[in-house]
Amino acid sequence: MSAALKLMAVFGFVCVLFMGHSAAQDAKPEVTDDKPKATVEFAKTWEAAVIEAKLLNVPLVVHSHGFY
Amino acid sequence: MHSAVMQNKKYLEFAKQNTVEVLALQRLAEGVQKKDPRAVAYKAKGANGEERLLMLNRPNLTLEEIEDLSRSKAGSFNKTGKIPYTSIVDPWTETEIKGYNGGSAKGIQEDVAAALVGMRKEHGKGVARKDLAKVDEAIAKSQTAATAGDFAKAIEALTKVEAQMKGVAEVLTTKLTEARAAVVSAAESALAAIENSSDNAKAKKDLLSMLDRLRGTGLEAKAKEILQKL
Repeated sequence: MSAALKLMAVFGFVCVLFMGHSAAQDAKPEVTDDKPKATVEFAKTWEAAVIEAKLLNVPLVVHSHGFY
Repeated sequence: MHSAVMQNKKYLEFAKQNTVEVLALQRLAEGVQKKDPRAVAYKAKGANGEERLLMLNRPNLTLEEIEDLSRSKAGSFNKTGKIPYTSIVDPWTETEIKGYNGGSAKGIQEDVAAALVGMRKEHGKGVARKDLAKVDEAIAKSQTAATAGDFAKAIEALTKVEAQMKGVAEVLTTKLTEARAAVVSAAESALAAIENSSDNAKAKKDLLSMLDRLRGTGLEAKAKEILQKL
């Protein structure tokens, strides 16, 4: 494969990655009338969580999950 | 894991008293993009009455907040490449005290209780969450009123809670004192803008309508002085 073809292939790959990322970023969730189940109250940001935990002097519990 | 811990009634009660809960959820945007029925949102009102689209399966957070959390330090504790993963983190050092794949509600409670012993020994007893919530709510109300130019209402929102928090915890009193100073500072700026106005008639009218809204700021006498000069 020539250098030009390689460059085009890399450029195309980057474009696909960027478009995928951008589409995921822009996606808006569907709205439902369902009501949520009672769940622990999560901190809205990491910084807010640290400030609150220091004031209360309690540990942070970080739940690392994956949607898929 | 999600319902076994985060929706477990006993854990919910425990967390209210003993933890700050943080979510590091990956690939939610992908679920939204694919219109996964689990990645839906419901409409809720924010603290200032604004509409918020919160994720049904992770209530109280928006899609953007969840995405930002996963990119924050919260997303850095799981180095195993496996999910779910639970970390108990010391907020003073932001380092993991204990971490494990999975984690039962009972096990997390035991490990948090053990961590609390060390933290209380080193940093003392923290403030109660209900007191902190009361103070934060008063400060938010005060900020909303001050932004609308009603400094008297802003001061009143703080005064009520200041009395309740007397002797409870110095850190809460400090928060309220700082909030009060911010209201007075905003009122001073508004007053200075009137004083420096080149349109005396308008300045007088603005100041007259402002007098009542300065009650409790300590700027009432100064406002009357300015009024006499106009």
